[in-house]
Amino acid sequence: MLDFDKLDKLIHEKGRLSIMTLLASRAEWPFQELKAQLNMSDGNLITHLRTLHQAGYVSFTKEMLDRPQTRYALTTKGRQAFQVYLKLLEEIIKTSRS
Amino acid sequence: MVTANEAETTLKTIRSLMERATIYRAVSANTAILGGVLAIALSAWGIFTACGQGSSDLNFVASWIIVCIFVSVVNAIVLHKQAWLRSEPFVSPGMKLALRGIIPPLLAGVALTAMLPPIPVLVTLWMLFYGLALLSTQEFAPASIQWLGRAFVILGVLTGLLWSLCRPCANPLFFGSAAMGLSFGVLHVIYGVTTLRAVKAGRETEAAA
Repeated sequence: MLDFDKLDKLIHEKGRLSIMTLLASRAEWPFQELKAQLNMSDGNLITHLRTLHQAGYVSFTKEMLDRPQTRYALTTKGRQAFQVYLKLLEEIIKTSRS
Repeated sequence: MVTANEAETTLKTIRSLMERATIYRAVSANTAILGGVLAIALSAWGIFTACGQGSSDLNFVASWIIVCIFVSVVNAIVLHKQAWLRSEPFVSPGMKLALRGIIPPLLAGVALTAMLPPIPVLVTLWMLFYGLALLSTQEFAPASIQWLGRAFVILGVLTGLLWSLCRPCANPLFFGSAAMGLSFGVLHVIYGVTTLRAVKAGRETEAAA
């Protein structure tokens, strides 16, 4: 029997799930690219990223190119949590079909 | 509680987001149509003048190289504009990955062109190396690019086989021009038109066209 409570609520929120998905697709993402890809406001994106960072799922690096740039990446903990989340979703579908 | 339907929808959303983020189209559909039409026109001119006095292997190679450079520059401008519209850098991680795959087969093609083999052999090599260059991006390219790559490789092999059969009786410049029109001309037009239709129908993303 599946324990649905195991589904990570932090990741399951729509905005944060999109962020986690993009971060899982590449090694790192500049803030501006994330914003353009997700079509989110600066404030909304920053809030979600901060939540994920506080949970230890996301790390960031700041660098100075022609202007300050912040790059975000999944931490090992974040990647593992995302994989567990995906597996659980697959399990839910399999269980309902069997 | 999460239902199976909700789980399925979530997984679909994740997949489409990942595809959007990782898929890179190295050949823009609009440029492919332009390149295809130019190739058909140059091929028709080549077929028409194949037996004339002005035709030579060098003219053939030079005219196709000029068209190739022109279309490549237009493609770069279009990709730059599309990246700008998405507020993304022109030299994106996707482009870097694509270039890493595309450059080796294209350089091999350039090196063999410099050796000036007989025109039908050269055309066969161009088709094969271009097809292989496109296929080298298949891990992150949309399906249409993969089909274009496969079509070029198959047509390249068939062209080589056909030339080995027709060699005694066919004019090399006539044969080469016809093969270039069919491959770089017709295949690019088909690719461009089907991609634009897919974008309109919502099967492929606008950004990737």
